[in-house]
Amino acid sequence: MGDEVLLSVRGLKTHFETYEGTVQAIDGIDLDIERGQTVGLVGETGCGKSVTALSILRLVPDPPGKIVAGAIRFKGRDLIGLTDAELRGIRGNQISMIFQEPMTALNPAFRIGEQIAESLLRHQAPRLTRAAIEQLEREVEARKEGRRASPVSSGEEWRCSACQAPAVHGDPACAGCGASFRGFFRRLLRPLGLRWERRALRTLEKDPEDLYLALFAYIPGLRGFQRRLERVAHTDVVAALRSVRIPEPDRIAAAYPFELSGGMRQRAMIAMMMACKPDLLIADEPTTALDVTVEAQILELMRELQKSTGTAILLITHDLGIIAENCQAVGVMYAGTLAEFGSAETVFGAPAHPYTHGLLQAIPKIAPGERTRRRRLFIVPGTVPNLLYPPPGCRFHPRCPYADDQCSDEVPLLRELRPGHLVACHHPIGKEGS
Amino acid sequence: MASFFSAFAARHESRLKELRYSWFLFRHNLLAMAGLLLVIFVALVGLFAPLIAPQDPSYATVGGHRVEVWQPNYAEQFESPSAEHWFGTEFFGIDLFSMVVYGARTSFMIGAFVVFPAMLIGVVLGAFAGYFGRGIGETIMRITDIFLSIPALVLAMAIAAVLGRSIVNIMYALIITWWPWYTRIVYGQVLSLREKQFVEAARSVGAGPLRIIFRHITMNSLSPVIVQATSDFGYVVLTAAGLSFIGLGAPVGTAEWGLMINEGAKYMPNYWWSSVFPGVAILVTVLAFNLLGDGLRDILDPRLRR
Repeated sequence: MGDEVLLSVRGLKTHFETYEGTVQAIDGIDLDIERGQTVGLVGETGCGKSVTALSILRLVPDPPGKIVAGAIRFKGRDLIGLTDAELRGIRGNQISMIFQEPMTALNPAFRIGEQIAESLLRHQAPRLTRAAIEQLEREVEARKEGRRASPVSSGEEWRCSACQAPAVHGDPACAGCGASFRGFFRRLLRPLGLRWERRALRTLEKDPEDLYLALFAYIPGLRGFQRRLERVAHTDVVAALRSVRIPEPDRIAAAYPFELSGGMRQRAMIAMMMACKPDLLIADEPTTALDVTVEAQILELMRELQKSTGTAILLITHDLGIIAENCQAVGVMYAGTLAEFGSAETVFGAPAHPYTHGLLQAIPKIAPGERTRRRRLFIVPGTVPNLLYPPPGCRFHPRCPYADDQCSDEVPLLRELRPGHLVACHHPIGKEGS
Repeated sequence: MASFFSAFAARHESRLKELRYSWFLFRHNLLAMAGLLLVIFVALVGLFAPLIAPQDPSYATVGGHRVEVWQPNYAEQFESPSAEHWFGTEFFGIDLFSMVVYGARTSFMIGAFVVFPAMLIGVVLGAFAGYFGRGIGETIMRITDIFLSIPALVLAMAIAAVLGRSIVNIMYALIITWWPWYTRIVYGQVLSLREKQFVEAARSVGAGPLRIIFRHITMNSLSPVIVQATSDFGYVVLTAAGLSFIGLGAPVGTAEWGLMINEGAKYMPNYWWSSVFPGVAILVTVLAFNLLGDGLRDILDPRLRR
């Protein structure tokens, strides 16, 4: 964990043009994420947490949405100036995103393994192509020597009879020595197929986005090279599934999303997003759709993955407990603005913004030993403002117990209260005695 | 070999399970089963026509040349159905049963060569229109509307007038009037699918627009297209027969059901068999495809399952 800043968002403004007018969904967000750090983002529904996440990946649907101002610097590059093609190279490779609903975020028409492999093939094409060519050369070599093998089944385990390497179900050639597994007719036609595959893979090595090959990859009989790539990627797919603690990764890779439970789907989703070992993982309410025990497992898993890969996580949630347990730094959002930002201890221990204070007070507590009196739960009075017509000045002032004239006139800027503790408030709690 | 099959079964376990369940549903749908069996029956008849038919009825143009492989046999003109000629004979003394059997070939060829190209055009355009929406989508859909407004009959007449009377020209006319339906179906599907979260997820792992359209979206929108294509197969056969009946399609002498009805209609009350048997063949084929289409709809519609 270095102190190097991985992502820095400055003055981000995302607006949506609607029939009724411009919705200022995000109006000036500053955010810093360091390498390997977990940063939380909390706030009420509709305060712009998800839009912030989508803006970072530049996935805000345009139109109606538009990033009107701000800078998003990722590893020193401004994501706002990048072309679509450059962005596609970053998405899923260096920044990926986990979605709230694992039920709908996986494509129902494809196997889990295929979907994970898609991301790998997209972003690690050169490495996989090289591995595929190597495997192909082994097979050609084995053909020359006349090596043939059939999988020797000893119980559950399959082994190549030529070299004793573990054999994969449905593979035409041994992954270890390249000996051919399949029947007589297949072996007769093999030289033709191999020559075509070699040509295709060589072309892909030079230009991974060759248009003709992208088409041939769908045509039965010509897609041998694609199948070989997929088989090579399969090893990584299984490794990715194993890293998210999915039992029997081989079987799950061949399963369709509808065959899995919600927790398993979310694991598969995480596997898919972590397959390329991104530097930043955006988790948009990853556990909202799951039950509490599964939630704990998923969060534990994310912590572990972070430890082993050093991925930074931007964790978006409305559950303060999750933030307190998992995050080093917290940003509290209110109505499209960042109200407070600081380390988890300071923000939760000594909240400076009245909104944060209110949120923390609104958590129901059951104190052990204390006689439970019928005490009303604290609520933050009022409702979230309509972002079509946000209140002038501080957006929180109509609901704030400490508001005065300055609050309704002047937009409070984010300022440093203590080192590393930023607040956008004219009268922060714990200072000036308010 | 056994190991190959077990590996195959293991790899496709879930898909096989779904297929087995679909087959279970389908098997218990009596009408759909009847449709499937009839379609298979007609297809087999067409495929093995030379083996089934006692006589080769073709005396039409082959490869642009008119080939006389028969002599008009006026001695056996208009014989009524008998053990020798099951469906009787027609004006030139040709065995009607043979003609009906060969007609299955013609009908299947027309159906396949119209429905598949129309489907291909329709799906690709519909997917693009639905995914891009706005300018591109609107343009494609308005062009689709224009094509939708062309009546098949009039276009076929025009094409027949310009290019001459042939089955291939009829197929062009039918493709031109048939693809817009598929575009509309796919357009509607894609409009709802493109908002799905898995599309956003695909985008967030760096998939490009072409990949999203053809892999993630189109694959999920194919089932209504398959249903439509199945029943369309029947309608195309019917329309082509209708066009041939009014003298726009197959040239005289082709074993084509619509044309046979037309030629037989002249001698209708007395030599009824020369029209009725091709008519029954059309009826059976179209009905079979409709029943099969309905059955497929029941299977592929998740709301009607379970």
